[in-house]
Amino acid sequence: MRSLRLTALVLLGLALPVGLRSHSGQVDPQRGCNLYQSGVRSVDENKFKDAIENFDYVVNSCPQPNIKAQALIQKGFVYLKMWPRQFGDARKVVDRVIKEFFGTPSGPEAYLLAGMIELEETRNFEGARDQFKKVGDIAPSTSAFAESLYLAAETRRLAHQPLEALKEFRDVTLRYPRMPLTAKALLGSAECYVRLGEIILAMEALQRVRREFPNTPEALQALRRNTILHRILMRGPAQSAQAGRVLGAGRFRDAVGLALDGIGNVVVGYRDGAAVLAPENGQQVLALGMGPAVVGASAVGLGPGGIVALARERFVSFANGAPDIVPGLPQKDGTSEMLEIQAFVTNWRGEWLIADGKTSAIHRFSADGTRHLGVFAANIKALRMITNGLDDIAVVNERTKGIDFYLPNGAPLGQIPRRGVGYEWEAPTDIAFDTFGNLYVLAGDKGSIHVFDSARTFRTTIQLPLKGPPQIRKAVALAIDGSGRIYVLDRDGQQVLAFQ
Amino acid sequence: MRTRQMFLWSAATILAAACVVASTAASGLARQQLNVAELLQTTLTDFRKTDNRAVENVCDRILASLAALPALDESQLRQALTAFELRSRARYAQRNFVGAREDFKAILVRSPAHVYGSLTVVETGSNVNPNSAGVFEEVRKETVGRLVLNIVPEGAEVRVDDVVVPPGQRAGGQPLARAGGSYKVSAQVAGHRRREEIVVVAAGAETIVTWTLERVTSVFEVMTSPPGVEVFVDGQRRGVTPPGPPPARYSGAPDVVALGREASGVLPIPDLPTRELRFEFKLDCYTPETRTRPVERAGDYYVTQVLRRASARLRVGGNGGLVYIDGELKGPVPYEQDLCPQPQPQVVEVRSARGRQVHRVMPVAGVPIDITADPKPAIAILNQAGLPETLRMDLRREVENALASAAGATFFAVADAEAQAAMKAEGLTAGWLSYDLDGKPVSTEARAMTASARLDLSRRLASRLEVQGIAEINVPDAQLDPRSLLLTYLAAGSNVPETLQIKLTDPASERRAAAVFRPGDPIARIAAGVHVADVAGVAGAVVLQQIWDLTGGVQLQTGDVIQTAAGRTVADGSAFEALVAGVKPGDPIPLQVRRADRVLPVQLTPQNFPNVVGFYDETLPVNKLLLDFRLALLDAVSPRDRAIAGLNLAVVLMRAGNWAEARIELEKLELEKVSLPDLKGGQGISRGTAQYYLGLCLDALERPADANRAFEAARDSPGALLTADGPLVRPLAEEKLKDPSRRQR
Repeated sequence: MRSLRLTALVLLGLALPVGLRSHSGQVDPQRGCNLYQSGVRSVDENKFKDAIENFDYVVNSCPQPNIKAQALIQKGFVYLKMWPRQFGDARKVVDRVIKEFFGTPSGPEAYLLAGMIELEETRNFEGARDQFKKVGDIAPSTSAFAESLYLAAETRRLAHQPLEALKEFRDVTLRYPRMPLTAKALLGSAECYVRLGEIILAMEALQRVRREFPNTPEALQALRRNTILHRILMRGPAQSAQAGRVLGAGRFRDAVGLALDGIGNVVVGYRDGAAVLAPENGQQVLALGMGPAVVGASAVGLGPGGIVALARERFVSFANGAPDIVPGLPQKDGTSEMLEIQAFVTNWRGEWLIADGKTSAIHRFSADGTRHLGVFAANIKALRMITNGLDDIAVVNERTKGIDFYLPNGAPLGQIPRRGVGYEWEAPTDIAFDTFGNLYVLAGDKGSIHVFDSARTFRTTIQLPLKGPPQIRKAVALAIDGSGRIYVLDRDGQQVLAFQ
Repeated sequence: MRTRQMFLWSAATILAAACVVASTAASGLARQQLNVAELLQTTLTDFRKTDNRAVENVCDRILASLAALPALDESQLRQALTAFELRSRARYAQRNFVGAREDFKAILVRSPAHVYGSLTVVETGSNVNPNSAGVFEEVRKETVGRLVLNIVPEGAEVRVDDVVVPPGQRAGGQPLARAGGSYKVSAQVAGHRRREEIVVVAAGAETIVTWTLERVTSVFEVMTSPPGVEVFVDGQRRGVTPPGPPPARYSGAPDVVALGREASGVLPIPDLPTRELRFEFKLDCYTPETRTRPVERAGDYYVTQVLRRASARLRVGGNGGLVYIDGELKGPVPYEQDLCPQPQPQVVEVRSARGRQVHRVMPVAGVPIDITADPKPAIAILNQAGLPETLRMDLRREVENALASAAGATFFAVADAEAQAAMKAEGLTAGWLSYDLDGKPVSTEARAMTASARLDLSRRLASRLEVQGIAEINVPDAQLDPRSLLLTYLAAGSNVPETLQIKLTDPASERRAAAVFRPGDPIARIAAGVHVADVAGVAGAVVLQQIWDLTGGVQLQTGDVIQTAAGRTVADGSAFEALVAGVKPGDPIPLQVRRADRVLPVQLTPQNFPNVVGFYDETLPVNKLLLDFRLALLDAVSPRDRAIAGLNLAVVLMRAGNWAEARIELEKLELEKVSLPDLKGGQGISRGTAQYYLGLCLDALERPADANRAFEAARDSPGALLTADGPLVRPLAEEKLKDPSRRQR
């Protein structure tokens, strides 16, 4: 998206003097074109409605087809970014650009958008790749082509094809070694290497980002990821958690869980609502009362669109004040039987996966919670559920005390038993994925975290401090941020501790 | 038809007849001449025999022959005088005194100062009769008078009957002897009114002509230093001062003396009016001078002028190269010459195998022009397209100026005639190299040209113009902005046109374009042979793996942390890489390395490692790199540097579509056995890298079997990298060997 925007800005910059010269009368039809920049700014500020209004204005009033087309493309990407996502509108944009603006520099970008729609709406990897390939067929020496190669490689990665993805990421880095896209491709390569167990190669790729793209967001990400890899995979099998910091001590009664919101804040769910804490200092940036506490909270997490959500046995409340949802199982008589919600996650499409205590199953519901879409997994009492960057689901199985893994379509992927070489726990209290898909299992009774790589191989155990300060009395929840920082919720101590 | 034929026949007949007549007349004249000479010999013999009658007869015939001539030349006059003299002597001997006197008179009319016997005494061997000599003098008195010419000024040219009188016979000289009669006397000299009169010379008397010519205009004698100066009077060119020295009469004149050793001779300028005169003096390479001289009355004057040199000293220093001025070879560097101011700039060039350096100079008198020879790969801007002729703009010079700061290349506008000749020789028209920034052709001419034709053309044109590359300017929208242009260029032997966008009214745009041609990157870079990483919370560089043994046998292990290097604390992996990049290859640096709970001292000796440009890099500035690596190859001293430069050049040639030349470069690496460093189990650019590229080349040249052999060799080089940053060549070679589309061929 960034490079697309850059392209558009360049186009706009070149076009402006022309327009101003040719229209020196009272009315400045360039205003329409100028609003393109406002649209881009609105996107950066996550003001999607404003962005769409601005882009619409550009499309309707700017006389220059190149800018019009670029505004349309940007609008299409906004439809995919906003919540709920507007796939139909995005498709209309694709059709219109191909029909009316195919000859403009933005023409090929319509296929990028089309590919993204395939990915975001249906995870149709092959369909997405077909669309990306079209860019190369029609515009092989454009920045859109470079972008299409990168997205095609990303598609491979999302489709659990790390070897193929690596080849395609390599293609991007070889073809465009100095473009910012290469930094992203190297980050993608590193993830693939980790999946393939090539940790050193992954770290070398990340270090190349540090070396060749310094002072970029990607360089910062590379540092964080190197740090995670170093901690997990290069140290000895057992270690102590380093430099624990207390966030928000003595504030959370009956806390039920931890989550991280879209910008890295720590969300603590407790009986009466949720608190959002700044990760640096534990300062409470938001306190969320989430409806009357008629029943206590059972789980906290992120709902569709990244909205903080709190499950209260039978219904789910939202931090942004959106109406509660009450998912139910449809009965033959047309009524609906409410669930006993134990845990939930949402998938890439915004659909709910809800663990129900009554039916001992995980059910799939539509994003608005009104439609039951089927059973995701049966015969499982799920205490906790999490999802990783590839939409795989990990579940704490209350019966087996082990961890079960599922593919995004519900197919079982494997499990980690409660006992194995180098580790053992009585009852796992929470689980979390890091950026690379390494799984962290919190064994609250022993105050330890066991770490497994993406191939579910045990790698190390991190021992939490049971004697302080800081001291953990009863660890009940776990979260890992993009830097690999570990957040642990201590229910008895009513505190959150952060470990580097 | 018949009439016409008859006419032609008649004309031819007449012409032939005329030729015969003319030929007969000419041959008759020659025969007559011959006869006169023969007759003179005969009559001399007769005279010696004292056969006076025969003498008289023969002389009659001689004189009759000569009288038939329209005019006598000097020798014929002498023959006539000899004949008269012989006949007079023969007549006198026969006592025919009347006839002798007639002959005496005839002699004196023709030669008033004649000395009797002067033509015959020696020839006949007998003296004249003294009596006859006396009679001869009597006849002289009766026939000849003396004309005395006193003409002022002395230098005047005097003519008598249109014959110039020698200066010695004018005033103060010998009087002229002339047969009595009327003579046309004229005198003229610059600045004076010409005079002409009929003067009657009385026989036996002295006729004196005393004239003072009337002064009417002035005469200036001009002398300059140096000679060769063009002199203008009142805007009219009046001549050039001749070489010196000045005449002796000016030897005491201080201003003439002041002209010094380079003083010219005199340029006389006559007929100058009496008023203020404006003199201009011009000579190339000297400062022109103007002066005015008031002339109150007509007279003789002189004027002197010293011109000061107006040249600038051109000094071209440095090493190597030949100096050309305005396309003409002057000599090798170092070179010095005076340059004279000209209305147009002069083109001073230094040319060498490395390229060119072009300076357009406007010499200013006394201001030296110092140039340090540093030729860079030259790109000749051949022509421009897209500008209507009505605009009459030559943007090539402007682009040359705009790109003058390009550190890695010299862009210059080829001289018009040379450019036109080159275009004509290749049958090119404007637009042949007009491409947009995406490399798409934007003109019919460019679209019509195939890649291979473009490659050949780039090579031929570059060779013809003795440059390393060629370029064309294209103005996409002359109406909107004629100075917003695209410059497309090709290095010699490239078929990949690349384009710069330049807005000549925007210095920033010019700087951006020039920056593309920054000096070439080094072809090797220093490295520690160990890969490290940044890790938050770890003070030091975390070792990932050691790929070269540059630590004297101490193997660094994954997870080791380099805490200090060369006594300095190492913050992280990036800091360590930066530190290594700044040391001299081969200089050891001490490290402190933490491994678990121990600290190990390690000595690391960083080395230079070769680098190769990325063949697959879509953003590679192909033409610029071709220039860079050809230069690097030229500058390479060691076999290793040559090998690295050659490998890089080959890769860029492949990108330029020049597979054949690339293959030659790659095979040269093999043939010369110039080895890139042996890997010894490490990773880097190696022979395997070269083999992989050779495989690509051979594939492109449709030699799949040979290509396979090269790919197999690449596959068997486990540590070979495609570029210093990777990836490994081995999997790429394996992919090629397995590629079904290749195997089908």
